[in-house]
Amino acid sequence: MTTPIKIEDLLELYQQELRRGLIVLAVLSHLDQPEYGYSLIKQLGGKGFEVDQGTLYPLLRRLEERSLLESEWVVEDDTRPRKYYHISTTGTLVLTKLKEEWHTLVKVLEGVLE
Amino acid sequence: MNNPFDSQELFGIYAAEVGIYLPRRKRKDIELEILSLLEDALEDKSDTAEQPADEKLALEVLKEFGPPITFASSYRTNQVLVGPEIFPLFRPVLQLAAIIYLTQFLIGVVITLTHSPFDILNTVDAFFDKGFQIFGILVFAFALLERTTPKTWLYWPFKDMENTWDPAGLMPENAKKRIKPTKYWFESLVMLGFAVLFIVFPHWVGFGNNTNGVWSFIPVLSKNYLRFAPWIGAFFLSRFIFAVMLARQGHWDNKMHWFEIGLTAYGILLLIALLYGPDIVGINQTFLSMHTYNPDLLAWFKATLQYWNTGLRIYLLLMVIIQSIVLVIRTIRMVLNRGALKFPLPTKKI
Repeated sequence: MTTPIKIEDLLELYQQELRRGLIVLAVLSHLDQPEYGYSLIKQLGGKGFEVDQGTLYPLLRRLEERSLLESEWVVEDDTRPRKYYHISTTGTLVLTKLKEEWHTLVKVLEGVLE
Repeated sequence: MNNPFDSQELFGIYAAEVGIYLPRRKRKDIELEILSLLEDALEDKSDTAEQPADEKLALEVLKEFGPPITFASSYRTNQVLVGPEIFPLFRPVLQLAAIIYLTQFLIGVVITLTHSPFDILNTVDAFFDKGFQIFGILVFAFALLERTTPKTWLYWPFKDMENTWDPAGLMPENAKKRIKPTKYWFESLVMLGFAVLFIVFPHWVGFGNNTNGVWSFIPVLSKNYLRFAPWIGAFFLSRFIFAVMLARQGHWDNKMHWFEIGLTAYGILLLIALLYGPDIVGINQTFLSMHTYNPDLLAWFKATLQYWNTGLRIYLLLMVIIQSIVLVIRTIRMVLNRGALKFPLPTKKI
């Protein structure tokens, strides 16, 4: 006999999946200016796109490894090193394509959901 | 007057704990970034709460980041056969397998040299052959395990750690109480392995060698052993639970000290029972029938049986003495409320 799954759990699972696919788009679109991890979380959160710390920081590294982002350490106030990320040329190209894809998808899905 | 709170030291300890579970080449950079992110989070929390960035806020920040092992697992990538998430389990298993394999090889070399010295090249050849096989099987098994086992099964020792983990254990003044988690994760695996070996596969306790290209194995546990098996198994399982609990919480407390004292006392009773009980090293026909064995080697084992049992009893006696001293010291320390001085980790600044 299978254990019944709660609707809330299923909803949370699919919401997470939906958001997970969009994080890259959200992150890339906010890194035309150099930002450090925490400020990016605050910025995205301020716009209603909450991202977990454990998700964002490793994601920034993965995007950097895939050459979509570049980073540099900057020491502020002589004591405070921070790692700043900004979008690379490859990242900008990918972002443009992803944005186009996103707009197309939204249009298509609006038709599907009607 | 109290010293001002040094968040960098506490956060440095946390970052270093995370670093334990990260691949070596990325470790330093990620540790530095975590340290910087923690400071940012603390500053933000302090501004929002309009409170100084004190110890209480710093611990809240750490609680939000979660246990080091869980936070480190989010840096996982799937581009390697054995990923960083399961690597902390893979490494000790590999080390343990290597130790057991090497020990068995050395025993095999001694036996071959005393019985058929011309077979030594075969033994060495078989060592490399089987060694690569074992390594390959382990890598394959872990890669498969990582990709097929539901996380809830594989990571049950880490279940609910986000809620139960207490970052206060990282405070610099608790340095002496802090443990090295990887040591206890390793111990938990060893103890679980021993429990399975001594309860389920006692016929695999023995020694083997390679004669004329044929692998031969002699199990060494007698029928008498079976009387002790449940108690020995219970001991290893208790040590397993103890190691998992300690690794999960990351530091010693009174409860864990008393748990360890209880286990030591139980261990001593078990050692005494084995010391005064019947011989547990011997020839067990049931176990023997499960292996291919060399009759010459079996005859040699029969002839030397008395020495094996005497050697074991001397070892058991020494262990009873040593463990009794350890038990007394541990109990006195606890009664005097000093806490045992165990494995102090140096505080690390990065």
